[in-house]
Amino acid sequence: MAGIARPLSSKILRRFAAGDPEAVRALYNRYAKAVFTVTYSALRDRSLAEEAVQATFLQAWRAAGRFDTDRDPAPWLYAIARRAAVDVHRRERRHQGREPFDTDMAALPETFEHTWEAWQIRLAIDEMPAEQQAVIEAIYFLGLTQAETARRLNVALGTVKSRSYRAHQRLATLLAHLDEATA
Amino acid sequence: MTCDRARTLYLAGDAGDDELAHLAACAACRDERSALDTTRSALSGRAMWLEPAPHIADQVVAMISGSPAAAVREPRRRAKAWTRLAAVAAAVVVAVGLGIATRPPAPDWEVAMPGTEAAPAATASVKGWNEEGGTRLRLNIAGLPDAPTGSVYEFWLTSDAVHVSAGTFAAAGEVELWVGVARRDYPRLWVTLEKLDEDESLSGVNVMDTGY
Ligand SMILES: [Zn+2]
Repeated sequence: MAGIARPLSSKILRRFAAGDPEAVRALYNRYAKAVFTVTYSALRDRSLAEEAVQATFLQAWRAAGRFDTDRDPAPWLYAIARRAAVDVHRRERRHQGREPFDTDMAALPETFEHTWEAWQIRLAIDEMPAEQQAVIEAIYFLGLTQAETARRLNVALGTVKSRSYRAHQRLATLLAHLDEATA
Repeated sequence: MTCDRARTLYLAGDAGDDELAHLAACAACRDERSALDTTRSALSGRAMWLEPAPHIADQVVAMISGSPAAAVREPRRRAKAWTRLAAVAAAVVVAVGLGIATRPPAPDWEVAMPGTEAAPAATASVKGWNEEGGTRLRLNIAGLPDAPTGSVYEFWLTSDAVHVSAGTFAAAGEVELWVGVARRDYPRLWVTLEKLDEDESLSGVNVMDTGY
């Protein structure tokens, strides 16, 4: 489990915009999980989702010179990631012969509906202290009870409860911002 | 009972009667209810917790290190030798991963690139698609021997003294490349045979060349 993901420094962002490949590694380390959350929740296939992750960072790199370093890169990267997932989805449809014409009018599946929320939630998790991440990952991904989580992480049950509370509080607070962004 | 506590416990799946009563009675919390449900459902999904395989990071960096974007900005400091081999693989990945989805059917331009004295039997056609931020290139090469072990071919676009690498390849056939510049600004297209060493400058033998 990685530690807290802090916002990228403006120095890194300037290096990225200037075309420094090492800065792409920093951008990847910060955002790859959230990009994968977007592409996997849309495509529901690991290898297609990973392909879309690669395409996302490659396209971000190609467009880096036009990136405004004074802005938060997250919404910009999200838009690229979603577009990459759409491209992969349409290509797969064409390969299956189900979408003979390249049309933007074809409806996307439901899996594309909540990618923005998923992106925001994953970013919020990345910003949590590692011990909070460990607790909610155990509960949601491993499906453990709080007591089982306490044993697994070798901490007191009360500690699991308080970490879980703070993690959920952070996510509940995030929702107000989600509403603003999608309103 | 505060809104914050009611929402937090509801999201955690720990809401008791007090919290549920608040969520039902409070207009602000009622508005949040479906967003809370969406979040709870997202947290339970695999997409929230799975991560890309570790090698994806290296592939991204390899693709980028072999990408011309860096060369445009720092023409004398190209990718290190080992990344050139990665660039060959990356060109294939780009072709499979992106080309089919985005490439228009007809190229925007096409030019013949004959072999030089160093490779008199070589012929090639170079097709280009002008795209935002650069050019997608497809080379169809014949009559060019495979690059010897320890060497690769490198494709360049040149304007006066500025050379931009579009990437590398090892053998004739169809090669897909991407370059972050436009051909109208870099009209000369040519190929060198470069040794895979630490010398990052353009030092190889010119094997194919359109001239200006
Ligand atoms: Zn309330």
